[in-house]
Amino acid sequence: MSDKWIKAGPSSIPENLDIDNFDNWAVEDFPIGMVGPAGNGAEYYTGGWRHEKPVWQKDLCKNCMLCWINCADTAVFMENQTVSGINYHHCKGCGVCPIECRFGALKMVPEHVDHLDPAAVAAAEGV
Amino acid sequence: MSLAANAKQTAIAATGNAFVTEAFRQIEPDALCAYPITPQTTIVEKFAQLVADGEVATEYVCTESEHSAMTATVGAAAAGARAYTVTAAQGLAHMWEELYIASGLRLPIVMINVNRALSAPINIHGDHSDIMGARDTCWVIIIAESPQEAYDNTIIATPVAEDLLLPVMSSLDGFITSHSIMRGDVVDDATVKAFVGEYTPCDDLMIGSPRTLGAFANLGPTYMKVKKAQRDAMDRGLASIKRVGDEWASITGRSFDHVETWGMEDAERAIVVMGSAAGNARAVARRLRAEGEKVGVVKVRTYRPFPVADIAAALANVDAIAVLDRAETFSAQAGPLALDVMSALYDAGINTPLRTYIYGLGGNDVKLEQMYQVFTDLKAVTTDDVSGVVNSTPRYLGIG
Ligand code: SF4
Ligand code: SF4
Repeated sequence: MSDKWIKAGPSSIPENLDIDNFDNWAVEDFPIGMVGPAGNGAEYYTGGWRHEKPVWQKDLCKNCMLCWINCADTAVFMENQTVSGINYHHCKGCGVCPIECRFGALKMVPEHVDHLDPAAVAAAEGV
Repeated sequence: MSLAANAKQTAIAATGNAFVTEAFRQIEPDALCAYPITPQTTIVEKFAQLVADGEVATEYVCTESEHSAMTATVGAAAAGARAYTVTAAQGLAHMWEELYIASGLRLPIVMINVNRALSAPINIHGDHSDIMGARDTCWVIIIAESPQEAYDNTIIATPVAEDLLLPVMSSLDGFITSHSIMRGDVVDDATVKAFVGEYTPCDDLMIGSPRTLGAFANLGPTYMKVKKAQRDAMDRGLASIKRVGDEWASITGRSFDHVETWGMEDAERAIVVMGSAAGNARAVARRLRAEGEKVGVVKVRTYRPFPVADIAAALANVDAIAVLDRAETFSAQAGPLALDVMSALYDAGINTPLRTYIYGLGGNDVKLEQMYQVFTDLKAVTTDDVSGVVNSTPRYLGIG
């Protein structure tokens, strides 16, 4: 990669971008290409799409991070480079992570099952 | 001006693809992302050789599909690279959803399309079907008649894209232009490099702070406002292309017009056409002129944005018009170019008799007889008492 890629160009993001008021922006107020601050997806919850959810079983997890890298919604929590659970605000219940997990540490259970109750999780029909 | 004073041109004989590759070598984009297998062309084959030989510093990203090629180009452009890609036919069709992402993110990507037919049935030869699939994607579209124009358009495309912050597709007719060798002039490297200049990206991802590009715009008028901003940029397109084209013309001596006319000063009958077949139309027009027939040819070089005023001005004084399309819309009335021309004339209050034709699909030979037939048809139209579109469906040329 050449160094000439890395240089600051003119930004189309206004100095005082009043994001909360975007409904009232005029056409020319929008940053070109709809560019905005990064990371605001964290504030937008998409977990309501599930009918099943993955339950992470700490005892079985080897921290291989396959679930983390394969989750299209970045809904696997990491703390200090260690998988630490599922972000149910964002997990869409697609069922990919239990299939990727080679150690049976993720189990897909119906949404109504209490994931904090190991007995209920064990009793639930799952993947 | 100083560019023009110091520029040197060298005559070469080469294919359209080789002319485009030469322009690429001179511009030396930061990234070229392409799918190297069919329907790819020798543009990428030759450019990969230049990368392998260390003749250009471009990052060549070889992807696993055309969809990925456009995705990688979008990624490179978003990162702040001057990013190019090349495609043809099914490849362009496969890129379709990414075309909207490139224009929606306002990334000044340049894409060369060697325009060819779409399957089924399988056909690898030249027509405009693939271009028409990209027609409404908010890409600027410029179409070359010859290898020389393919070279010039490639160079013009770069400042235009970066001025408008819109992607530009420069297209040349598959095989007829891409693979035929023609004489043309190439400008020296230093002049081309100075003409396109250094690229300073806007809001790129590499400036240090992370960004969201093309953020969610779901409810309310936000999405529409962003689309309106795209339209506003496209509306500046004709002036921008003309300005860059004129600057390039001052260096090369080769004029640039959105709509190029031949014999239209006093023509009574005119053919409107796009791409390499313009040469066939002019060849026949020249012979008919020698016999005293007042005929002319209107070639469309800028297709998106469509040069409505130039088209209307070129056709204002004729008695009959034929629009030749190298693609189908399968709509009730006509091919895509004809529909555009008809709209332009309506806007200008012109109701001149107009016939629409489909020709050269799948590279079907465009013979001079077909152009004679069109001019003869038009003669009949001028003696009939008709106005507006004559016959409701297009006439197919060259199928007997
Ligand atoms: S179920 Fe799907 S969305 Fe949820 S954490 Fe697993 S991979 Fe991510
Ligand atoms: S894939 Fe399974 S074992 Fe690997 S980190 Fe995820 S839960 Fe743990």
